[in-house]
Amino acid sequence: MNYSKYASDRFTDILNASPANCTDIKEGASNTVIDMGKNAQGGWTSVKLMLDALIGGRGIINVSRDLRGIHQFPAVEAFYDDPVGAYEEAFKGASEVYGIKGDDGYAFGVASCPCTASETKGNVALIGKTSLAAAAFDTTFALADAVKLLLDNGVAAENIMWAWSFSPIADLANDTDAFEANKAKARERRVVSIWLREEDEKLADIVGKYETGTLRLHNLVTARTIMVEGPAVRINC
Amino acid sequence: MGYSLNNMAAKIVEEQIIPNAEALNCEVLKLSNGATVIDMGINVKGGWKAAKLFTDSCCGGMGELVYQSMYVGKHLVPTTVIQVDKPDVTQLGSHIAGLYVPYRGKNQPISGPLRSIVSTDHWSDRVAYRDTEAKKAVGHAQITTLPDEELTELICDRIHMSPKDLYLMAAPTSCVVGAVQIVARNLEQAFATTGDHLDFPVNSVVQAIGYSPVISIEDDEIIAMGRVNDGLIYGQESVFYMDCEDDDILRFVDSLPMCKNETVWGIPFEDMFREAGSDWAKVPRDYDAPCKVNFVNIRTNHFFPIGALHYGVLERDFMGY
Repeated sequence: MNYSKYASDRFTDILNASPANCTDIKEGASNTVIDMGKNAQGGWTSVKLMLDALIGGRGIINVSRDLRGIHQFPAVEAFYDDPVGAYEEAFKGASEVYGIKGDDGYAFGVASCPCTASETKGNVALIGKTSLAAAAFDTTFALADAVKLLLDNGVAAENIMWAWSFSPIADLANDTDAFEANKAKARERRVVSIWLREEDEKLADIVGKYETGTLRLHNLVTARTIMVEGPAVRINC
Repeated sequence: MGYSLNNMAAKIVEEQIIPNAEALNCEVLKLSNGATVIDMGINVKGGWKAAKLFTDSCCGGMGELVYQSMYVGKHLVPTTVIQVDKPDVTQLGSHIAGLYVPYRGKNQPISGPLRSIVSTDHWSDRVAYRDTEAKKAVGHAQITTLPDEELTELICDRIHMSPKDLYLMAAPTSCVVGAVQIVARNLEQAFATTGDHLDFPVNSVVQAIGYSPVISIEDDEIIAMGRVNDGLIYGQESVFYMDCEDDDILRFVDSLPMCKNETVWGIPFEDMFREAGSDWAKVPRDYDAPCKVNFVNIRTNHFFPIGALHYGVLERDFMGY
């Protein structure tokens, strides 16, 4: 089971369930675009398959709950067997189009802009800017941001073992500005745990650079947790 | 028509684990005696998915591990939820690490549905179920070294099966598979404790579900052993739906939960395990008691919650103070 085949199979799963899963298909000369949030409504079924595809099946994705006082809202919890792979395969160096590449274009690409989607080769999910798919896709940055931070600060990839993330799904809104503000609020409440091997001092330095949400670095060697929560409050450093 | 826990577990191994071993970060090894050992954390990384499959197969394919999360103090942590059918059979007859094999100077505990082929211990004796249709034997070992021909043959001698028909999954405590599969023994622990009281009506447990937090994972096997077991004795919560008289439950209310041990309540398990010479067979039974069990009597519609979580120990383990 390699990343691209798994991702491609999940794309096919979404395709085969269309239009019952509230997606629309557009076949191009060199690509297949599944609209799962731009003009089509999309839904949980396709969203969950997208999230699973992006980790190449190397882990488990749950839609769970976010408690806000007495109210319950959806959140994505992800259990990563290969956190570095999940970041490098789908996020590293990406900007307009994210996702898993295959032999001939994307095995499962994700784009928010229809022009970008139509110009991208392979399998592309068009998520739009204010959809459930867009909100769910934003949760994937919880782990991606954390792994990038670690790698950029010299932690060896082979020392990053497993990860878990909890990311509230931003409240949906038709207005783009309102939705962006909701995404920002959701990001502040995300929680990421990464189990790795490194020196505590180095982790204490790195963790302070995590800008949004709570990051816990669990050092397998020293059996200590170094963390930052909320607005860069360091704990156990 | 009967059912075979081992055949159902073997299906998980053959269809979900072996073909996907690489993606699961596991390794499949064929020993010279024909036994199949699946390394899920000794020389490989393993992962959350592998941990789930380890546990699902350890319940004989009649239970499932689902991941959720819970708060420990202010910390949101990943959590295991164990959902089982036929709770007495899947736990007493399969999940419990009740088969002890003398191996390399220690008592090596083995769990899994192979315990139901011939009853291997006093826990499996408590249920009538015997897996008379097993074509394969599926077992699970919490161990730091790769199972070899000697261990697999010792196991097979006990259950009268050939090593070539054995699947043995193995992982140490000090990896994600170890941490998850041990802390997922919430119902297992509750049943083992109730199973020690011979007149507890185990076959009156109609349904059961259990929750326990994945507090900590670390490289040091002893620290790992301590913390994952803290997740059980201080952090697990099981729900038993019973069909019995209230007195059948009330008789055991004071003797079941971990907090009954006033002299050790709040002491980390690592310290208790060290005192027992790091040998599970020597751990006082009372030190491995369920943290909290909610008994719901469906006959009388009465609810008996017993025990309590100890967030202080859990938070200490989580932070590594």
